[in-house]
Amino acid sequence: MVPTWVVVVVSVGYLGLLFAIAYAGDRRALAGRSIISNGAIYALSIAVYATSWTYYGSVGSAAEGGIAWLPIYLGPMVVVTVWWVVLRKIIRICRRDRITSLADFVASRYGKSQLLGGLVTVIAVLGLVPYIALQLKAISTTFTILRDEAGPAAAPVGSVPVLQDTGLYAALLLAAFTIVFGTRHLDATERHEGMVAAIAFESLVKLVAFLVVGAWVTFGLFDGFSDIVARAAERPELAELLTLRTTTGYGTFFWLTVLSMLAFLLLPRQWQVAVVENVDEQHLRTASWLFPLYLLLINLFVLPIALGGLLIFGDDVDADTFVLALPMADGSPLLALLVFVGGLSAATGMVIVETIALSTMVSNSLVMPLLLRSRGIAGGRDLGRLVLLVRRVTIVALLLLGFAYFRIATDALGLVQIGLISFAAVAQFAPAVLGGLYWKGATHAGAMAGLVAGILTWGHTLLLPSFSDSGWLPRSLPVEGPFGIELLAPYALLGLDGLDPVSHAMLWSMLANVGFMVAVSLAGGARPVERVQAAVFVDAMRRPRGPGDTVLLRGTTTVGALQGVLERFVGPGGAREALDGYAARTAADVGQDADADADLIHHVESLLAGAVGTASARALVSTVVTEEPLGMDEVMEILDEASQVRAYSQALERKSAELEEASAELRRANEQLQELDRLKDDFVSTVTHELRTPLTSIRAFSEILLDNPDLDPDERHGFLRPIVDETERLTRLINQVLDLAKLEAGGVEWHLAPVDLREVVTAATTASAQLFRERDVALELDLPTTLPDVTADSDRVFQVLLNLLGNAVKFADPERGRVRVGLSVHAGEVQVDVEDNGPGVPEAERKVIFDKFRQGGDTHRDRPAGTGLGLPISREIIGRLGGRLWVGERPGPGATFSFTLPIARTEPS
Amino acid sequence: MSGRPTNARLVALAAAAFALFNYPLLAVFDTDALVLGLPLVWVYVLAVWTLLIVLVGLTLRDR
Repeated sequence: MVPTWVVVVVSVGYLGLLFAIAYAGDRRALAGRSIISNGAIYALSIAVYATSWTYYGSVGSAAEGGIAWLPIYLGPMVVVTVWWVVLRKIIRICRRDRITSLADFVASRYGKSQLLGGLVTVIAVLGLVPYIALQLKAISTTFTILRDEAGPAAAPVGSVPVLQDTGLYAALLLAAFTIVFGTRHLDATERHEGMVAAIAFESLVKLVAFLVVGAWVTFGLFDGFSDIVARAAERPELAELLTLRTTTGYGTFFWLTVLSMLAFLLLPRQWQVAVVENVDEQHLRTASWLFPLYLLLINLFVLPIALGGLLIFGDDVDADTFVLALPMADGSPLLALLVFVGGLSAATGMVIVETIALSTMVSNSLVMPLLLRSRGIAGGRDLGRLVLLVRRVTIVALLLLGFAYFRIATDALGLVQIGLISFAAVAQFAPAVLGGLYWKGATHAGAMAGLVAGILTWGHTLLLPSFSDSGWLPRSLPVEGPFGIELLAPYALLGLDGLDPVSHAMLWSMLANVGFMVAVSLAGGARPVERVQAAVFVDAMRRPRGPGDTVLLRGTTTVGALQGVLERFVGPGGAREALDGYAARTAADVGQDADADADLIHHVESLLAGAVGTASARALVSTVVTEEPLGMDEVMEILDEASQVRAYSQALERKSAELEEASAELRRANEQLQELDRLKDDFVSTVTHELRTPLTSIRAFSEILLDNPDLDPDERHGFLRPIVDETERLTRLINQVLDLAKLEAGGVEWHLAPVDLREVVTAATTASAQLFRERDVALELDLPTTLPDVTADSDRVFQVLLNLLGNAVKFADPERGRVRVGLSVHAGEVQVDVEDNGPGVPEAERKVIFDKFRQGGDTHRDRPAGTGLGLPISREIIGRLGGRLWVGERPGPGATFSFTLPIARTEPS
Repeated sequence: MSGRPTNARLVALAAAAFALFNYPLLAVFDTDALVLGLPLVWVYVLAVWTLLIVLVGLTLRDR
């Protein structure tokens, strides 16, 4: 119906578009402008989960069992809710240890075991080749249907010769795509931005195509959902598809949910897009609701299409092809072409990502460990190219294997049956992966035993019967058992029947897998490296990368030797760059002959792990590192310490925050104390200095008097006068020191009462009138006629005024000295100004003159006349009385000292 | 440490999802009844599904 050349051109054109998108994605990534770095693209890339099994197979499944197809998508919905918990942990572990595949993850968790990594790889390849075959089958079949003149009903799969089979060319094209965008260079993170961009685009295409065809069937061919359902309900064989109990048992529903939960987490392609290609774990926030929404949408029209197909075709057409057959039968070639492209998207997306993931596993966990064992290769140069070559060969081999499987074996099996066999195979990784993630006691031997037991059970109960279906083994085998031993019958092991094959297989294989893993883990011990890895994995969320990670690498080697190993994978330039980068971060010595420290060894190992897997990286590093084995006791000590430390670390974190706060407070208090201490020392030394000066002159004059008893009275008087003056000054100084000390210690009794400041000012000026006369300084009083009383101790205010007046006289102009005292009322306060016409207080001194023993003027030039305590005492007194004392800010000649006192509250009368 | 209640909520949601999608709750809605012309069990599953998407989205929305 659609000419072959059109289909070919559209298909090739579509793949060309993918190439373009992937190319652009890689270019953008190189330029540092990632297009895939957002949650929506991340969610879309994870939608690679929906393969052609979803696209075509869901309808086929729904046509057989009603909503029995749904658990395959409900399982992921359940898992997605705990993505933030589980997947984030996995992402973190992988990012830290540069783990790039599922096999590597399992190998790393159980002591970087090459054996376990290899086993996981073999199981994955074994389980997934049929799944890849399924996609090729879908491409081939739909291609045939689309171009077949005879119509959809007659589309015998595999009837075309091998060389004319579209599946072969699809496989080769996909191999080319995967090689170009999946294995271009060896990268330590194994991220492929271009490929992810293409996959996200494919997810969009398949969703749109499926929604379009679904809406067309529902609203075009029929009259909405209820119309289809109503018509189906009239036919008994279709009516039973509307409920679950008549078609699929609840037990099957349960097991399918479990199966798809595990597969969704553990399928290599899901691991690749969700873990390895994850750019930022915050994208999980968006993807956690966007991805299930995608699944919901792509499943919305499955039941209508299935019922519609059955209503229109009955049993004439394979239900797996309804999606395509309906537009074909209706004569809508364009819509059919759109459906085909959507199906192509679903199939190619899965094949591309799955083969990349598997090729990484095969090269890193299977081939490299084997190659590295043979000495010749381990010593060769440029192993990086070898790794890439291995991956490319693997990709081609996988696709050809898939094609071969499809040609030989898939005729007899439906899409869903093949898919479920693959799901059940990868589900066997669950105990090792999830157990290893949350149970420290899981050991290498346990994981090994569980995996082997599980996969053997899977092989016996699912794979073997599928061979019977393909006609390779007797048809009766699944029910009657091999050699007629009924207890071993694959569909009723040990006589357990009544379950469908998948539930039966899951039940037994999980029982065997978990059982052996737990039993063997508990029975045996673990090697030191296993214990460390167990702790690293289980405590991943609580534990920042730290020195503890390298604790087991107590080896010695030189930087040069490590560089040699690194060069063979990333080239000399890359190796130098990596080491220089490390040196820049840690300031370590990375000269050729320098000893490499444990951290550097670990760093190089993790770089290599990105390229060849953890197990191989370990083996490679150990070729140049002479390791000193750690004793078990030592390891246990480290681990015990580490786990105790971790247990307390959270509490400690909280405590340390509190402590920090407290210590900041203490520091502040301490600084204050130190300052006070310094001040006290200063004070004591200044006081003694001030005491010494008068004492020196008293002593000098007294000695003169003693040595010269015959001095005449006038001369004698001239010497006695200073002695008396100096003694007075001493007395004053001591009194003031005591006064200040008492004030500061709060030992002064205050006699507070309403005081009229005019009286105090008058008293003070009268008291100092003698002084004014001596210096010939004019005094000017500016007193208001009415003034409210202030609350104060009048004696103390008197003392302050005397001091201020004394200062004013002292500094007033020697020629025409003038001092003005003013009183004024301001908001709730009375202000007293004492103004002189002296030189004024320089700005730099305005603050310090209130410090003890700091006097105005140049103390070196003229001998200070005061004690240097007057102003500090005055300020202390005024402060105690609830006022302020300051010096005016006005520049130029003349200084104004002002103080305020609070107005007394008049009692209401 | 605001991650702890989030984690607990998500685990609880997952448990609820698993329970809601399985026997016996599923069986309760698995009848011949039609809602708006659609099979009850189908409507039930889609409704739970939508609810879960909303709840997960709310739990994980950026703060």
